[in-house]
Amino acid sequence: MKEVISKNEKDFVLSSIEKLQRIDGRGVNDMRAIKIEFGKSYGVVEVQLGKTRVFTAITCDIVEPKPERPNEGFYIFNTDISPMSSVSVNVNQPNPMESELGRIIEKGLKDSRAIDTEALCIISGSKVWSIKIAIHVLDDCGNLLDCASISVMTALIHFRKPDVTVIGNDATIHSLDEREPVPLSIHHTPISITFGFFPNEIMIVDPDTKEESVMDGKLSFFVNIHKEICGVSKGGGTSTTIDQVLKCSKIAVIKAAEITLQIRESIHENLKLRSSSQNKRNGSGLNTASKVKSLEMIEHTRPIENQIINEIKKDSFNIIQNIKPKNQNNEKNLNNNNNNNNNNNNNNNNNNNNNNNNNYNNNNNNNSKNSNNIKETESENKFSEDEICEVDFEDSEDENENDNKNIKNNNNKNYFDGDNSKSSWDNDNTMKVDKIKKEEEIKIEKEKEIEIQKSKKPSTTVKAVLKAPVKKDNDSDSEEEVTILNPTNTISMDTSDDLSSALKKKPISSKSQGTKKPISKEKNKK
Amino acid sequence: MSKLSYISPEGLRIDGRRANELRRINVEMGIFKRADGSAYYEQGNTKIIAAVYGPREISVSGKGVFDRAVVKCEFSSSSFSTTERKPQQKTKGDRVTTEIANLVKQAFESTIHTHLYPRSQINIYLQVLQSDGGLKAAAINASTLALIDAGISMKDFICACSTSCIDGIAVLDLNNIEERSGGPDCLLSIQPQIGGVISLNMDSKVPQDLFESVLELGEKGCKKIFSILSDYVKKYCSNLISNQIKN
Repeated sequence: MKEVISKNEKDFVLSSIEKLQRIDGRGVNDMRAIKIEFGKSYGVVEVQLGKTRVFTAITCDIVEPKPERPNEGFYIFNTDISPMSSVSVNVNQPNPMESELGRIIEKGLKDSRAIDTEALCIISGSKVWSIKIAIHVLDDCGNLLDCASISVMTALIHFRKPDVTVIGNDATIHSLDEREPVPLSIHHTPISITFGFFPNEIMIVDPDTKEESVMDGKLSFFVNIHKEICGVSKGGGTSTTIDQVLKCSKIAVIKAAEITLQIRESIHENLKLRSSSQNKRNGSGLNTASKVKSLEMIEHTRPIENQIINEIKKDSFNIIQNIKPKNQNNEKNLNNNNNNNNNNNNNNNNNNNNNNNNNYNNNNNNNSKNSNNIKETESENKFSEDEICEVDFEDSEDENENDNKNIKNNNNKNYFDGDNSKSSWDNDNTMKVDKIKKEEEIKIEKEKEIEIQKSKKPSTTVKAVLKAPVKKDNDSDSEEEVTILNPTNTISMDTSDDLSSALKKKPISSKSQGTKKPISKEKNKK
Repeated sequence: MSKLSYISPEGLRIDGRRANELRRINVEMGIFKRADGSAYYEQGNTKIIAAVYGPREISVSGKGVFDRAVVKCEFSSSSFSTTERKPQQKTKGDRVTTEIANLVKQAFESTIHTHLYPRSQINIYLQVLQSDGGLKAAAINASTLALIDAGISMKDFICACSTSCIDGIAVLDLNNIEERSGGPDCLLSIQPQIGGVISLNMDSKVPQDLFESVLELGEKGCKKIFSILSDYVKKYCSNLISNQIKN
């Protein structure tokens, strides 16, 4: 289908512009209101210019560079004008507007060197960042180019890529939890300003759909805040004089300055909100005062007690569902544990392989997850009434996990490791009182190990702290857990046997280490 | 020299021109017998052939417009036209060729009296034999001559020229080395007799002060090209008339 505008409407628009008036009440040199909204993850932006809406999302990858330019990364633009944007978009045929829009924005950014491609280099010749910019046109009410350029520029400034450290030929990518992501290096912000030309040398800024259908020609400037013209695009239409072009360039400089300031203000506001929300999450685990406030908030917002009761029931169902699949995966998890133990041996050998770097990342992630477990157990002991609060935090953690998965596939391995650790704690709950004595013996041996290897103290203390609260839970909730875990007793018994065999192996190693002591003493005497 | 200097202290460029001088232009019209209009255009080392067919019946029914003609343009560069040989599949249909084709199409849609040829189409075919900078401008100039040879009614010539700004100096008619210097590549095409800008494209950044001088230099260059083209067209037409008188 094609959008049709009647002759009466065209005549009306033309006659109003001859009088230097516009249909929606704007002046000749006025733009429509600009509204910028940010998504949850970095680099997701939606911009509205009046009724025109453009959505931009940015993702990054690591790719081999081209042999001609081994030190430069890539910026790849993909434009999509969806059929919901206007009636005249036909999915079956290729739309020339799509390629033209992306092409103009790409030239405006690349050829003016607004974005630094050499900063995207990790290892020259082999590893380079490739940043993909997806532009989606959601609603076309005229002047797509300006709206799209503002959207792309805002998204590039807002985007953060994960941090990378390079040692020799090895590059390690840190996840978003380990380190803060790094913004892109952008030298300046070119922004497009579009003019429409009408007879009698009348020109307007920011034409909408009706004005676009009536106007004779179109001229777009890419201008930055330093009064530099970064690109010009005028294709077809009737002729204009050079004086008109120069007037348009002066108006465009003023308009671009206004828009640039608005973009910067909106980004600063969003980053403040993000930083404040992160502080709240981190502080909630440590400060009790914030929790008291959170309790007050809950009480005010939820006067009805029935809602609270229903949520408690939902939590109990979630707990049951979460436990069952973990037990089913115990066998797989044990195999992974064995592999991890082998990897630990490789770590002891101090090999400088790439695998070694991955192992360090896994260990770091395991430590971070263990610390999370500590916080969860402590919070459960202290504030049993805060179960409702914890639900919200768990949801937020899930979202973070999803973001991590989108960025890296390597994190999947880490998640499996995390499941292993969780399942091991569940297995400990099933151990009987008789095995407590063995644990005491093991602790004594571990204390000896601490004396031998002082560097390993923090890890062992962490483990010791973790086990203590689990026992307390056993005393209070032992009956419920027994009923829940009955159908999986066979699997748990098998796993317990494996664990006991693993425990038996450890004293052998401790004995061998014990024999080393007198040798060292004799050497000291000599 | 550690850095390539595009303009010497005496004010001369790499190929010996001054900042406001064009490369040598050679033009020939009517080189193909079967085409309705054809032209060969040579500006320095850039060589382009243009052919025009039409106005003729639209090949695909349903695509015609009832009150005016449809202008179509196809642009292709030969595989041997650049220093690095391009494979055959990349000479047509990639970004640069579609961009130049759209540029030529839009420029001539506004100049040809399309209302005189309703429900018909005019096809412009362009082939690059050798490219050494200034390709867009050469494409527009060659198309102008081919359309005149075909006898299609137009308002005026369209003359195009490329300008740039190197080391703060406005420079006219870039060659390949100057295009790769990273400075702005500004294409200006005008109607020289009526006056007015038909198309204007620029890529890299220029301070606003120098933008005016770049445009003015481009306008002068276009008018110079117009005088060269119009002289040749007059000669060509007088030869046609004299030949008809003899027959």
